Amino acid sequence: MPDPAAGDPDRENWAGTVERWRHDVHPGRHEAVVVAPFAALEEAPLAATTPEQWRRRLEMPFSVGFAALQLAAATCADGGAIVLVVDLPSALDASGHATTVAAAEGLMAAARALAHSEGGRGVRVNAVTTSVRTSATLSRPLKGTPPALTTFPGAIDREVAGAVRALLAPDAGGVTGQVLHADCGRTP
Amino acid sequence: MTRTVVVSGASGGVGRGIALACARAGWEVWIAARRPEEGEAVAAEMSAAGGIGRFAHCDVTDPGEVAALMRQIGEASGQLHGVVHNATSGRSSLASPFGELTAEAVDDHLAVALTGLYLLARESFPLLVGTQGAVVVTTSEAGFEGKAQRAAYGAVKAAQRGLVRVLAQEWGPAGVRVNCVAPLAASPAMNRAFERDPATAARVLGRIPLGRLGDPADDVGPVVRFLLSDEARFVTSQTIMVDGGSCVIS
Repeated sequence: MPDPAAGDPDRENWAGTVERWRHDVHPGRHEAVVVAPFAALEEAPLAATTPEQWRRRLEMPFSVGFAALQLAAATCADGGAIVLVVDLPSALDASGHATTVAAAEGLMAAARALAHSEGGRGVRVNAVTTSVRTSATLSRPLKGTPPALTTFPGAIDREVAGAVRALLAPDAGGVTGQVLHADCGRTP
Repeated sequence: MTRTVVVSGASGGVGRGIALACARAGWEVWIAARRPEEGEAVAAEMSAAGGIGRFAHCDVTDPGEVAALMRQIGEASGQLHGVVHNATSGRSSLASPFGELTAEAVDDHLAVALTGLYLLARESFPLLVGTQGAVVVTTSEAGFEGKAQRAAYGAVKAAQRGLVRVLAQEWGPAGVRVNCVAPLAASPAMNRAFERDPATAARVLGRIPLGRLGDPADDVGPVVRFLLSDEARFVTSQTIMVDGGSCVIS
């Protein structure tokens, strides 16, 4: 996957890089596809974010994330399932994470569109959100009502992976176009 | 109270309707547009409607032009109470299967809807702090439900809402409010979409409880004007659906 932190930020060049990647990668057909695109995860108030930082932290990751969903659709076998995993802090914890939140919300909407697009061949598309990585710099105590679970923010290889497995499983056969917040109840 | 606001994407449709609603209240309305002929004409309409219409050339995807826009407003008007970001990509009404969207097309949607919002917000913030002003973003119900044939448009509209929620958190302490409206109104873009596909017209109109599309100036504009006014001084981080009840998610 093209790396927004290292890629050429020129619009035409980056678009070309993303297109070539999408069309040149041939991972075969699979019943389960997990899409976990890059997130900048750098904290800064939006008013202090420079256009160059915006490009690296939002525009470039967003375009490659969108392409990753397109690739996932091309890779997923009929009747399979796709899960998008995105970093998304709860609204109360979102200050300083404007680019992360905007990219996550946009890609989740794209996943919902993909659910409609691919549903005709039985492919389910859902999303899981996590605040594991964005919670690293949160001040304590947390604003507002504490998360329902004291294990907040959870762990990628436990709570997040568990939610992904659940959505890929046959038991979730009637679930598509949905978002699961695997953040221990922090997001209401 | 006379307020000064700037509206992007106000050459026609919803943007023009919002500007008109503000002008009817006697406000000073800056029309930020790329095409001077259209922008000047709309500014003149605002003056004729009882407001003070002004035009400023601005491509909202260009950092230099947005910075220049805010300098111009600051120098000419001395104040800014509100920013309305309505501009979207010219591809917004185009249907395209998900897999056929190019990176260039996605980038175009992103540049106008989201980067434009970022630049307008960033450059207007100092002026808005001075007036405890407000930002309103025109999002869309397309960003709620997911549109198979307009995935990039829906994605950037959802991203706008995310950005608005964060800005509301970051700017609240400074007294600046940030909200969205999600209109479903008659517009040139809507008309083009209906002409291309009559089934779209039947589908869209059939799900609206109020049985019609909204009027940009009489239905959508007043809601935006409310959000920009002191009457909404305790409203921030919200999305108001102005869609006749069409969207079942809010």
